[in-house]
Amino acid sequence: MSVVPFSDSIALVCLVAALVVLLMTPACARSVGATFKYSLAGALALLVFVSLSNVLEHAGITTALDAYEDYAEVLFVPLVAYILLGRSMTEQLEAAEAAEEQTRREHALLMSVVDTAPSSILVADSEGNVWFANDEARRYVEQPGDGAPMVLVPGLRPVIARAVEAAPVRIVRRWAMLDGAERWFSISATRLTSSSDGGDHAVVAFQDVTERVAAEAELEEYREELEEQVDRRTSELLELNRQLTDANKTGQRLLANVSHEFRTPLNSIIGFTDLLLGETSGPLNAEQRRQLGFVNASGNQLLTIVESVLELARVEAGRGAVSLSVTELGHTVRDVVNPIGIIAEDRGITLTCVCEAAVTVWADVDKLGQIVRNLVTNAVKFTDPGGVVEVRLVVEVEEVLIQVADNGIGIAPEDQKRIFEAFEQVDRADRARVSGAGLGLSICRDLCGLLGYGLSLESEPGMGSTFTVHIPFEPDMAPTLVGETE
Amino acid sequence: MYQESEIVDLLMVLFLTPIMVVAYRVVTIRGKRWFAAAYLMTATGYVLTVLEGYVAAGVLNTLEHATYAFAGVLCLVGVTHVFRAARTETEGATL
Repeated sequence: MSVVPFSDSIALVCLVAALVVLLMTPACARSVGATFKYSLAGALALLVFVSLSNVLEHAGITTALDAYEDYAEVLFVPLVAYILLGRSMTEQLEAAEAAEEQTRREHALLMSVVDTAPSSILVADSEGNVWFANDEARRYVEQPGDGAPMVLVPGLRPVIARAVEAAPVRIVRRWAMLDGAERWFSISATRLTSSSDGGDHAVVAFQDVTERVAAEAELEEYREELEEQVDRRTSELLELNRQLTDANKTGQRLLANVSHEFRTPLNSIIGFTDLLLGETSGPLNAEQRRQLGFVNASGNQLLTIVESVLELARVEAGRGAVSLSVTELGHTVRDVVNPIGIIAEDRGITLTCVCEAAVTVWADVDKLGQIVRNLVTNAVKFTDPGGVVEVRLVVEVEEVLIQVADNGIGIAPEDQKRIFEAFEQVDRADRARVSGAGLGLSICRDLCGLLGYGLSLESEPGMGSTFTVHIPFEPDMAPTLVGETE
Repeated sequence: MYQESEIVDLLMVLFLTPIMVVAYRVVTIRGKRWFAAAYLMTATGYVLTVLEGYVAAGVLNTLEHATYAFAGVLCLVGVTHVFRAARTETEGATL
């Protein structure tokens, strides 16, 4: 049995089915256009016709269609070629249209951007002919009206032409316009690489920056003026500072002189009241003794203040000559503290000196003694009866500390810096009871500065205060115990 | 022996197929491989038609009709792809 009729039958059935399915396919624009659909249907119809002819022929029904079968076969290949080429051209056309539309949209967008730009943008040649200008640039171009390219206004022509010739360039130039006014322009130019007529074209962006340049010039002028003013004021301040320094020195000198002049009569007052109180000139009654005692005490108090003022003046004037010697620190401190112990005892205050750590340092004995004396006296002065004042000598690695600690009234944090200034004292209720000019700590600070010592304070109101003198060891002098020295 | 129309068919295939190959590469038809295979089957049938006039007439004739059967099946598959693509696109546009 031949398979030919069977093959023809399969071909006929499949092709008819394909034709039916294709005719049922909706002819939408993208995947199946109407032209493609019906052209393909025509090609399938030709094959159906050939298959039908073959089936009828091999089934022995008729050969009538055989005469037309050749025409169908001849038509098939060109029809397929037509379908394929037609489809290809259609798709290319659609792609070209889409690209054109895209280009048109991008061009519109670009033109919007260029026209919205605050700068003038144009395409010009070296002769000043303008081939394109955005909205802003049209203020500077003239349109002849006869189809010729636009031209720049005469005032701008040379500067743009120069920028085109020198492109790429970025310059700021001043140019005289036709009306005589001088304008500043910031110009950037870039040569066009593909010019259609092969001439020297460039994209030029420029902006009138006259106002900005004027503002910058004004700013520069103002800056120079400001600099001059600052120089002038600095000179004035320096002069004022010199005058103040001179006035301060004069004041210190005056104060020292006045204090010095006070000392002689004060010594007379104190000396004669001592004589009177010693009853060398005759006996005194109780009232006279009491009143003379007031005079004597007030005189001594005033003398102390005067001597403090003189000392401060000496230190501030830098006249306190430093005389260094190897000093056994514990001994020096004890010598100063012991006499004050009597005063402390009178006031009911316990004064102790923990100075066993015998150590030798280079020090000015007198000045160091005065520092310790002022600190201890202050502590005793501002500690209530029944309180404790302790003087400690602490040896550390790089320094020796002399600490004067009391459990007195303490000092508020806001006062801790102020009390080191001359004539400053902490306000307290019993101030009248505590005599003094507020010079002790100031003298301590200045003397410490003179000797290269540090002076610190730790205090809490109501809990007492601890003043610490930091005496650094000299680099070539390690702390030496007296025992070791011996 | 051959008929004149069979020679014309063969010449058409020989001259137009290269042009169609170029177009085939750029077009975007869903299931185009199936259509290309169907076309090649048909073109092969044309060649076999001419050859059967010279050698192995029986076998080549059988093969010729078999290629037509294959071409029919391949066309049906290709059209089915086109149908599905069009349906999908139409439904997408409707939605």
